[in-house]
Amino acid sequence: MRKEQDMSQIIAGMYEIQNRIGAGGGGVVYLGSHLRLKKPVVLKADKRTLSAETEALRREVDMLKQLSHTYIPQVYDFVQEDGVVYTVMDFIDGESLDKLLGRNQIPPQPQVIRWACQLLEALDYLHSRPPYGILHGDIKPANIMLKPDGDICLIDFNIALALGEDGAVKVGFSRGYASPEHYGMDYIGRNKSAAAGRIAGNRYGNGRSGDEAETLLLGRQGTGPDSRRTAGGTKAILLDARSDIYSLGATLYHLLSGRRPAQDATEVEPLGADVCSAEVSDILQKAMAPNPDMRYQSAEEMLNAFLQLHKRDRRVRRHKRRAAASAAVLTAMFLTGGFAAFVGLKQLEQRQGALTLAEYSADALSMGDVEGAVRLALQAIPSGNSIWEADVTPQAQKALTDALGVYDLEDGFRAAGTIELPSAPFKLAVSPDGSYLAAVYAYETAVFDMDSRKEAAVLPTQESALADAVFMDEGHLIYAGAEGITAYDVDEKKVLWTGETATALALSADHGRVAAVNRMENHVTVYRTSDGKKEAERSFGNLHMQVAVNDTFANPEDSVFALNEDGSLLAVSFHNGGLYIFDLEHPDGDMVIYEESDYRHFEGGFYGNYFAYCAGDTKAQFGLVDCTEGRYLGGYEAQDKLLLQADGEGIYLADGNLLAALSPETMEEKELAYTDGLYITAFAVWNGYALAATNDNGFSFYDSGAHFLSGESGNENSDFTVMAGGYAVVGNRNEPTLRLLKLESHEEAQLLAYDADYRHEEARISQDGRTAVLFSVQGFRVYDMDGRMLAEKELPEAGSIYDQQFIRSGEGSWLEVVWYDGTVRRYDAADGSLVSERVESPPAKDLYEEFYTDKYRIASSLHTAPEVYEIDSGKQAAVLEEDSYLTYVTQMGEYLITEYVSAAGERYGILLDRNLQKLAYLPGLCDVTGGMLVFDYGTGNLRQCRLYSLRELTALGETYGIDAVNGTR
Amino acid sequence: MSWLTGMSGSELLFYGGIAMMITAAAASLPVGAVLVFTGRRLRRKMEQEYGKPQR
Repeated sequence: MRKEQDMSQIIAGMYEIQNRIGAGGGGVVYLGSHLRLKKPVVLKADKRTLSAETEALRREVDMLKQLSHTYIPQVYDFVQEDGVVYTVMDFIDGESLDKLLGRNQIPPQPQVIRWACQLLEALDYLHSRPPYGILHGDIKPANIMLKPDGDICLIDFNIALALGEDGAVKVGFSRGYASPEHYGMDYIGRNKSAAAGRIAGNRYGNGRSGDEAETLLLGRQGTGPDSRRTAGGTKAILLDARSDIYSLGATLYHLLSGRRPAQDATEVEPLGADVCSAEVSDILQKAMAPNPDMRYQSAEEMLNAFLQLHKRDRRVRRHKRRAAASAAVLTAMFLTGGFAAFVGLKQLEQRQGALTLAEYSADALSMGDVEGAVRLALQAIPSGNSIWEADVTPQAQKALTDALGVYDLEDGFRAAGTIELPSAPFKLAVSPDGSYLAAVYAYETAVFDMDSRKEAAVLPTQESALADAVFMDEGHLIYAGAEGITAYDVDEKKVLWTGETATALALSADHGRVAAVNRMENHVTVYRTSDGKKEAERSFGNLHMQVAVNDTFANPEDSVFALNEDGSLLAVSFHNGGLYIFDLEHPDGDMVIYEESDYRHFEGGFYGNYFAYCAGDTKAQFGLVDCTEGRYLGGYEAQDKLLLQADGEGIYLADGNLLAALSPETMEEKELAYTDGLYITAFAVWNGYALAATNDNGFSFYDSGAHFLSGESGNENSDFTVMAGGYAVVGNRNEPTLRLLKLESHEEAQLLAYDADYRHEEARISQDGRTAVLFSVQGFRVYDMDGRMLAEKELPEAGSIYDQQFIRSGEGSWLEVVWYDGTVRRYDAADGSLVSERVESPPAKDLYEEFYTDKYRIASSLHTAPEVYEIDSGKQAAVLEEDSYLTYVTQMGEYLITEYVSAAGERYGILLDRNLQKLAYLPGLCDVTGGMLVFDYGTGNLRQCRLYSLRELTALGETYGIDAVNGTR
Repeated sequence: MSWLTGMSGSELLFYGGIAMMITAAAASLPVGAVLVFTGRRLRRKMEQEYGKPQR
């Protein structure tokens, strides 16, 4: 060793040794100075000077000289002086960490982590040096310098080894910091807890203490597989980068805990939470694993572990998991809500569309387009196969029910569809049996098959609004053809005969003759209908029929042009207000009703020997003439316009709101239709049925008893009303659309036939279904189901009756009548006998009643609208029909059937769903019993049907068009 | 269910969905604030324990 007096020794003429600053296992360390650069350096006198070959040492130093790293001192030179080999390197100002520990200064954990990272960077650099890396081999606090700037520097490479392919043999170690491999302990392939096996001859440094003393210089014992066994026979354990990692872990362990780790790696106790963080402890535990395979396999891996401390901390990971879970839950919630809202929106759009379609369906139905109404209603009903579709709306179901008319069992005319013409009609005619409809428009005559509503023929016609067409029989049409009067066979589609140009036509009641006149001319020609032979001609002299200058806007209905039964008499009105009856056989027999007058509007026709007419738009004059005697039988002046139809069937006269059949013999009138406050503007009569159009743009049908059957509404006044063969056709001069209605009979639904003239307000079926009771405050009748009247009674003091209730129970059925004075009488529904009579306190006069269903309580009184309350909550759920009095409520499954009587006395029912939405209008509903709906239209029939499910309604709707064409509806 | 609320199923879906979206959006504010707050506090704690993140 060099002594103090040698301190100013010059080495290699370049370095001046100044102070000895330390000694270790590798040699003595001096502080020196570079004489030329005046730079402090460290000179390290190698202990191996005497034993190692100089060249070998030079190669080692050359290897170290090539190192350049922030945390590793730079080795500059390798010099020899007096047989001592010096390694010259950077002087690192500061103090080693063992000094710090010697003062019991435990650095804080962040500081230790920072140093650890710097050391690991340095180690990574060393271990990655070509060709196989450099092993420090003696990492411990004493070999780590803490610089003034707070960074560290790894020093003392005295026992650093260049690694071979398989590692390097150990050369020295520091107890506690050295890895088990340093002691020759082989844990590879063993359980970590297994006892470590020691290899004989590898126990070093026993009984020594202190870092310096324990750092032993062992000399190079060789590298590579061939050098693993020493000359003395001891087994050499190869060291590798993982040995440095162990040492570094032990060093950090000491720095953090202040205590040196146990020499035996298996006895090293993990650092607790009071010393360092669990994550740091885990890193150290792994770095100090006895089995190298269980340690970090490289410095870089361990460095990453430190660098990832923030991310890998349990609390950070837990926080990230919470954040991710919160984000996932909220995102899922948002997306789910968005999806639900989108589905809901689509369903609402579909629902709104369905509501619109339901309205369109109702409009189409009101216009008589039943097929269109059914089609639209079906479109409003979703298929139910898609989540984008809402549930079926009650409005759609009601539209379909109304369009199908399944609950309207009254015999009468029902809308059967519409016919579209190219332009508005001038004239309509129906064949006698209703097979064909002829419509004259500008300027054609179209013939339609009534059942299919398909066009059978289109015939060119006179260019005049006065052009006419008449059916001489079922398949033969006579019309004012473009070339002249033409007879046409509709079935054979061929012209039968033609005649002279004509506009107006008149057919005799026996259909044997047809009179034709061109209104621009003053003569008439009479043809035989069978072959078109001219049978008569007659000149009007200087008279001609009333035409406008431009007859496109003329109204043929303003004139009379009619033949009598056999075509021998012809009635004609003229432009000067004249009205004549020409005797086509005997001109001397002509009759003049008005030679000239101020009337510009005439209506009239023949019935038998009688000619009936009316003249004038206002304050019309009606008259009746006996053509046989040529005598005016009488007439009257009306306050308003009169409508008259006289033909082979009879004389029908509409005056204001009354349509009547007039008997020419007795001048008596029989009521056919009464339209209340509405004026009749057009009418048609066929087979006892009357069709009356009114000034509200509506029209109504009446049966032979003048009972109202049904009514329809329209946008325009009905100028044309024709009936024949069970069909009715309605049209107006301004619209090209014709409405077809067909007589329907519902005899299959017949429950009971009774005297149609018996006036009653209600009809009820007994509990056993054997009798029906028809009653009003005046009295009642009991019928059996074969229509035999079993009993009839008048009720006493009818004006004092407060209420009537029909009661059904397991014991029987009764009509219970309550008088205002409290008298209550019960009449047996089986035979009408008085069952009981009692006197109670007089009832209140508001007719207050309550009805209960499973879910609702319904309060009804005379002067307020029925109110529905939920039984559970007591909250009001709905207000029912406001202008009608609720009489009964029946629950049928999930449906409610409410029965009303309107202010006008009309009885009807409303079918409600469980949410009190209207599903169907039930006209004439009088009872609900035995699962059947019973209808009474006051026309002598009780009829019944069951409730139709939506599926049945849909099926009916889908086959409606087919059934309608086949006439099986 | 729908008859309890007086709304149709479609309305329930639509309004319920919107309510769920609003709830999720509204809940994200305090949840986000709590997460940011606890995250910052945790970062400070990590820095105290491990020092400032390196690299």
